[in-house]
Amino acid sequence: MKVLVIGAGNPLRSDDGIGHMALQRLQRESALTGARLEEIGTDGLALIDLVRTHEGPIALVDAMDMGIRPGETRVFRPEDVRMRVKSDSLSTHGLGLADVLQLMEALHLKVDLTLIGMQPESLDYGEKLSQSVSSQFEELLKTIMNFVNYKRRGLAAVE
Amino acid sequence: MSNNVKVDVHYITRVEGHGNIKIDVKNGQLQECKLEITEAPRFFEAMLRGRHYSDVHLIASRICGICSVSHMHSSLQATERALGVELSRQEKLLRVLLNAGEFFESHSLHIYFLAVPDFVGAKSVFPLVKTHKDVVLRALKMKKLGHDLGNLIGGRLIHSPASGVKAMGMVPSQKTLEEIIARLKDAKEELKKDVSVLKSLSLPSFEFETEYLSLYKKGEYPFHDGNLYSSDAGEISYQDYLKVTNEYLVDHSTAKRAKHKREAYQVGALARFNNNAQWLSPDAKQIAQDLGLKAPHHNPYMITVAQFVELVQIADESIKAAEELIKMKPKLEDRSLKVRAGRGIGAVEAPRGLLFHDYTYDDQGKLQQANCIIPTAQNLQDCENNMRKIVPQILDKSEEEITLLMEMLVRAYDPCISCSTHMLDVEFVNKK
Repeated sequence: MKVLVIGAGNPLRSDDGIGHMALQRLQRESALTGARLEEIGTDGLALIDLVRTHEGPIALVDAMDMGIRPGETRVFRPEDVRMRVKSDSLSTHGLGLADVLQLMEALHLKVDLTLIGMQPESLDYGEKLSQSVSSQFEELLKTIMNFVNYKRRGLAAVE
Repeated sequence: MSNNVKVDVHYITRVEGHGNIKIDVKNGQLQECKLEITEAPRFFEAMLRGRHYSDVHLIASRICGICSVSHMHSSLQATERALGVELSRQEKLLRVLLNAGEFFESHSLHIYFLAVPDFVGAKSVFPLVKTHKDVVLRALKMKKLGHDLGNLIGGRLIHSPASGVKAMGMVPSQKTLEEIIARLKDAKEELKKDVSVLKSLSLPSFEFETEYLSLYKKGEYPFHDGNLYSSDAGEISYQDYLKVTNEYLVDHSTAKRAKHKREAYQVGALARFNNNAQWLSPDAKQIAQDLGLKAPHHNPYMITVAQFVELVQIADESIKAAEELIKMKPKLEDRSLKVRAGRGIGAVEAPRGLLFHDYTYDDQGKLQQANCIIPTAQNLQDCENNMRKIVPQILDKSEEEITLLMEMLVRAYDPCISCSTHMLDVEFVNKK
């Protein structure tokens, strides 16, 4: 059983690309053993497809507006927070992550999901991370690796 | 009886892109009725100028992420016709399958996530999950099928990297084709389960006859090539498309409008159905009958139901295509071609209707001139006209109800507003 790490976000919107960049780096350095890496970009509904076909813990990495300092990372379970859902603004452009998570809950999908969110500074058009986010990039990678190792220890204890 | 009604919807929800509805009724008289398109112009026609033919489809598909296959295929068709390139049977069949991927995703998302909530009185898909959980799960399954078809045939559904002039850069294995057939057959069974659900929905009932425009290929229900067919004028060569579209500008819209025999015409699933229903597969015909859809049908709210019938049709068409490909044992094809100057017109059916790409190349294979006419732009005037016809009939309803019916009307067309906002011809006169 592997840990699934999902990167989300739009790499053309500055700090929204943090999920993509983190996964690219982890992939390049084969830094995560015992983990499977997937990117969903801006296709929120693809999260549901992945969740329904994966057995084991899942981590979702994305830029998230948590009202904290840009560059700071938080690790949390979706059920532990309140998310702003813009359910009637969904369009064929895609479903926002908050909407997808609520949809998953409504569908009673059983999943061991943890969110790893980084507070963005800028979501403007652009391919570069802002200074406050890029200076914390290594911290984010460490957080993801620690999380995966923690989950793997838990799985090993059970197996 | 409401004599004064003001409807001002900023950014209609559950459509792709940005549009506003403005309605003003004073003392029972309609003063203003506008479908405003405020999306920024895209400038694609200008961007394509000077590009080499091998790059054009890659840029053109970026017009839209939902209908990227349609733009890709219309663009390729224009280039291929300009350069005198004929497609092999294998290539035609592969494009049928890639196109199916797009339609499964696009139609499913529109039917279940955007339109059906309206028909059960829900503001979004979320209440639908409580009452129709299986329906939502099936919709997600259809969407996944669409993406998987795209992955297997094109390398990716959205902006498929394998697509190219004359031939795809990858071909599916026998095993992949067998998997595709199995999944399409399964999808058909799943779709059948939704018929009773759709039948139980109450759709607004308005009859607005208009001119219906679609592709036409006798004996087929065409999505990929053919001539044009107007319900008013009959078969028209696709090469004469400009005589049919007659694009013009209005003040309140960054997207152009179109008209032919009447003030407006309609493209899309209902237009296709009205013109070509006789050539649907037996199963698709049966399901159309079960759903009370009979050609010609004049209720724009039924576009969604026509889309559902089309999913069955596309499943049947794709199963046949995959079976033929298995017999052919597809192999990578030679993509070399002789460059020449020329003009070519691509005309395909996108999920939302007829899509034209018209390109002129020089003898180096560089694009000189492009014209793109988008289905949603062609529908905007028909939509606005119908708004104008409906409002006087529903003045006895509350402002909220009127607003909702108007939004539902716009949503019924499944507009792709980003696609339709366009470049305006601007000429800077240098003052010396």
